[in-house]
Amino acid sequence: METLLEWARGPIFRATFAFMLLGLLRHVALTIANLRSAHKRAGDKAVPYPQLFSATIGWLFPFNKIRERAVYSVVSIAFHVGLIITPIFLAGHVELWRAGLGLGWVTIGPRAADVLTVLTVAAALGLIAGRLATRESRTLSRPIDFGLLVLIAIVFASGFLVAHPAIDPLGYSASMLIHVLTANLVFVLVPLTKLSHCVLLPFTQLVADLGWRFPADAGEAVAAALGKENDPL
Amino acid sequence: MRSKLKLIAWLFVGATASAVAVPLIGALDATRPIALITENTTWIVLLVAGGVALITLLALRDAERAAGPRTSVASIDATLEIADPVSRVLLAAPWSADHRRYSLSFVCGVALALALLPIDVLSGDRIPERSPVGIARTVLATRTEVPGAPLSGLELVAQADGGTGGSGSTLTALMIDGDRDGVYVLFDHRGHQASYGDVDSCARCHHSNKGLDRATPCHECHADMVMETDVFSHTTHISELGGQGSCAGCHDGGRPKTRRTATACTHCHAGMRPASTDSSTTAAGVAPGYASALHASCIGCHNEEGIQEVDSHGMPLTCVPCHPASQLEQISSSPTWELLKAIRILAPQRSRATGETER
Repeated sequence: METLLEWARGPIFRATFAFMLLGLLRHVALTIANLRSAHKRAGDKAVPYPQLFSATIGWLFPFNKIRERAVYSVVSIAFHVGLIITPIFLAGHVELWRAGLGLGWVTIGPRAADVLTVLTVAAALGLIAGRLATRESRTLSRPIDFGLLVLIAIVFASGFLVAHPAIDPLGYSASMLIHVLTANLVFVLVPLTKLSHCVLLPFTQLVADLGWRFPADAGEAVAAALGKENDPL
Repeated sequence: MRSKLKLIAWLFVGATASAVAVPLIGALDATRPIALITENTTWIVLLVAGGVALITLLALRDAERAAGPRTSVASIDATLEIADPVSRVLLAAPWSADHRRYSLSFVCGVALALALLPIDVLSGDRIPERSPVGIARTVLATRTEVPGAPLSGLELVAQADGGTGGSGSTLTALMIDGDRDGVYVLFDHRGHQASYGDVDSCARCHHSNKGLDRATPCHECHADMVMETDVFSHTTHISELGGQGSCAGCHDGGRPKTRRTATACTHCHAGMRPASTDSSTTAAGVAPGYASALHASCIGCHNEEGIQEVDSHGMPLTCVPCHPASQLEQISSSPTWELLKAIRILAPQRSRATGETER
């Protein structure tokens, strides 16, 4: 068990974390490259940046969207808050970065971490329930949508058990192994699934806007293909 | 586009080859074998990963080109032929689609390299092979007083002929040669004991003892010639203290559970560290390598007594008189000496077991 744990938090962690960081960087680079080529090809090159920016901010902090599906929105926001803050600012995680690479930053206290962890697990279960609740969202949901939520809930629940060995029915090593392995799986899945929205969100409005622009001579080409070059519009 | 990619690929291959070649050539030069490797390995890792990935890309590209013209990315004009005749929108993958695949292979290459390469290569630290330490032997030696010299010379009595090694008085000494490489120090244990104050003085050097023991030998904790030894068993402590849930006995629940933040060993094991000891201990439960521990112990005390001079790194200016002059050549070619130099054992070093800098 200990050897397996060393392997999971050593080489496998290095590989999966590097895969996540470089994979996300790759997504950003490819998105920018594709946006540039779309812009180059577009007939209408005027981009409404202020509107796109405010739309992005509107989706980043979706307070005015809350009214539409109040419970689901609040649960979703709580999920994101716990998901982002807990792993990055947990004192134990920061200590690992400090020991390994000499990096360090501010941390949250153990009480706050506990509250956020429980909140995240509860929110993940809430989101699963939300997806199952209505026929529309059930139909739109793919297996991976449920799978990612379950996986993240396992990472957080096992992390909670690791931090509280007194109430851990599995034992420290088993919980830690589950925690590390599932977290590694999440790292791999970040650039490969919709989790990549963590870096791609700022681009989505721009992609949606530029992606639907026709080339400058598209109209004439359509007319030519239909044999209606000289017809009045 | 293709020629540009080819150029970049060759640049990567060239850089990788030279990055690998330089330390290899350095390794052939026996006078400076390790420093080059330690300082460049992180770059080598990245360059090798980059080179491998780019070669993979080109191989993939060629395979795709062989498969048919549809995947060709030679030029936009060529792909326009497969554009929709009505909208002239490209139906084939845009040029970046190829990059999507190629960049993915780069990402996988780097991740694989980071997983497969050992941590000492990545961190640039040289982690030596294990070389377990053997117990010091009690041998017959002769003492020769050298006029003007700060220390009297000890010489090993050859056992085979039963004769004496020198013309002075005979005594029993400890022959300290942890890794049995023939480079040894003859240590007048009784002499030190007598000048320090007999039995009560053990604690001055034997700074950390096992339960009830008053003079635990050096090699029990400093068990490897150059590597650190973890003398603390976490597993044993967990089972002794009551298994799961006993963490709070040593760890403060409000802080991350590390060696640094845990309760000090001496909190429970009061007799472990005698108050009268001269030696300083480093991070809790981590014993430095045998060679550096003994060097530090001897040099520190001898320096205080004004017997020996040390340089700014705490390194003795001469190996003589502790190591006999006849062994100097052997010392400089000893693998332990190379390792001690390579991992800069005498400079403030980072403890691998705890990640803490020793002060």
